[in-house]
Amino acid sequence: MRRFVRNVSCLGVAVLLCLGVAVPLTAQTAAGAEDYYAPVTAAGGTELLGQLHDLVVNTHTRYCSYNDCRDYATTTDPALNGESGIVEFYTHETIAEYTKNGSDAGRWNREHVWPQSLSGGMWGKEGGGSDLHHIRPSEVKMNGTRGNDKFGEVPNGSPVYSKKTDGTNSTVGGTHAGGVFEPLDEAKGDVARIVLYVYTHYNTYTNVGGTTNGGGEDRLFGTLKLTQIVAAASEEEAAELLLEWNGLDPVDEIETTRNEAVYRIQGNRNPFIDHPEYADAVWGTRTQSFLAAVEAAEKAETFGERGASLRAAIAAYRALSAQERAAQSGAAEKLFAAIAAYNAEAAEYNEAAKRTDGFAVESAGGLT
Amino acid sequence: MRGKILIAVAACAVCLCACGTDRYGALDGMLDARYSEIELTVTETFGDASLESVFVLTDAGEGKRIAYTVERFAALDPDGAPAEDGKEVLEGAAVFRGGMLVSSEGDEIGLPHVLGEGLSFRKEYFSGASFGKGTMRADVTDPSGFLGVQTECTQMRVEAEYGEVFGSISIHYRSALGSAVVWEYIFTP
Repeated sequence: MRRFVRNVSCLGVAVLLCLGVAVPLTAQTAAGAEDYYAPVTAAGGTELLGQLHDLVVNTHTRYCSYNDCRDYATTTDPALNGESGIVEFYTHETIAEYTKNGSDAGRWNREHVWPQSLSGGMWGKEGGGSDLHHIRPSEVKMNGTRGNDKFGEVPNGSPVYSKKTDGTNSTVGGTHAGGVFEPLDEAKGDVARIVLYVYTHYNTYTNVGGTTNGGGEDRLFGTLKLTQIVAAASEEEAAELLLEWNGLDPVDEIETTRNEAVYRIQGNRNPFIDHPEYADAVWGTRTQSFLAAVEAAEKAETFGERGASLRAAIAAYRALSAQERAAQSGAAEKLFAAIAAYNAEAAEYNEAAKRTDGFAVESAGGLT
Repeated sequence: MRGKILIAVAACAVCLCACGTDRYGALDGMLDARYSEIELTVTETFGDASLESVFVLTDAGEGKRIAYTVERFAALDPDGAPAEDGKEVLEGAAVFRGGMLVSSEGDEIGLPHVLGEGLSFRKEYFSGASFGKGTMRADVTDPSGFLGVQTECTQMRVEAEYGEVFGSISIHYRSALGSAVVWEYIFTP
């Protein structure tokens, strides 16, 4: 009887999902998320990036259509406070109705956070262009005004408003100037974590240190660079901005809700929502410097070499933010153990030097 | 004729013996000379890391003043900024009278409270000695006797440079821990 009821319940959920009806999801994030990341063992750098690529593509069992992005929106991006409609990506306001007409102010349509025109021809409305972790609902005019602006810092930009159905301004969603759009602080982290997901997933595995493109067709994968979507002079500078936004705007309930919802539909998760520290571990120069320094200290063979490498590792550790330190707790424990061993050895040598100095003074003091 | 040859040989033998004894006695005598300052630098090497201590001995009225600057390896602290060379420096001075410590100031480094007999250049303390013009080199077979303090060490060697008084004395040895130790004396008349 219980199995019958459970089966009927699952069928009911499936029907509701297909009808685009918001289905409350039970919070199973903790246990499911941790099991999901069992294959991720690397501490950082390209090794971690490759493992994350393999994970998100291997678990991506259903490549959704562009219509799915419309039909599932009220499931993945339900309006806040139980209202009817969706939560708009840039402003977090509630918008009730969808439209496919770009002139219908106050309604929402599908926003490519990483615009098609900036994908180097990699996607239109499939593959990366219809990934539910990527496509977000946005107010029509907000979407249109942002257009295909790259993301970046716009200190003196013009405000970009969402519109009400009567065409008047609703809410500021960011600023833009010169082809660059800067979202509000409360959306910057969302943007960063989506961009990093898309970069990790849709770069072909040879570009990111992975081993496979999973079950997706190879034509859906290619070469992506962060500078295609971030206004920056270099990949390092682009990564630095995204890491800053990742730290500035922590993961919120909007993101965790949609991560769970998309997981149940597509089969994969956005790792940068479950583990925002992965971003620093892959791209953070501070984290990379720290990990490299700890590795060097482990390999040092002599006391002098150990001292020098541990001092460098301590300097790198002190440069980490609290979030980065927490993310690298394993490496930090190794560092602390190495420091304790070094200090014990140093104390032994200091005692020896103290004895030697004592003998020397005792002997020299006999001279006139 | 045969008697004259025997006398000549005996005289030479006596002379050689006297010269050998005089060399060591002469060096011992240099230790009793008055020096305005004696600087002793002790360097101890543990693998690829070294600590250096400098002691400057001067007269202090009826006693001796020993000013010191010594290095120690600094403990690492993940929450603190480590010293660039990984060392900390301790400084201070002590006064000894009658071979006893009477006062001290500065950083505590565990100075002895009683001074020893000092260096001694007795022939029986050495082997393989060679003397050049103002130089002496030898293996030290009795380190405790030579240094005037009880100590455990191996492979001790001494090199001295002198004129009428000492210019420098270098003492090298291997400690019981296995570290390489060098004592470098510089004498200022």
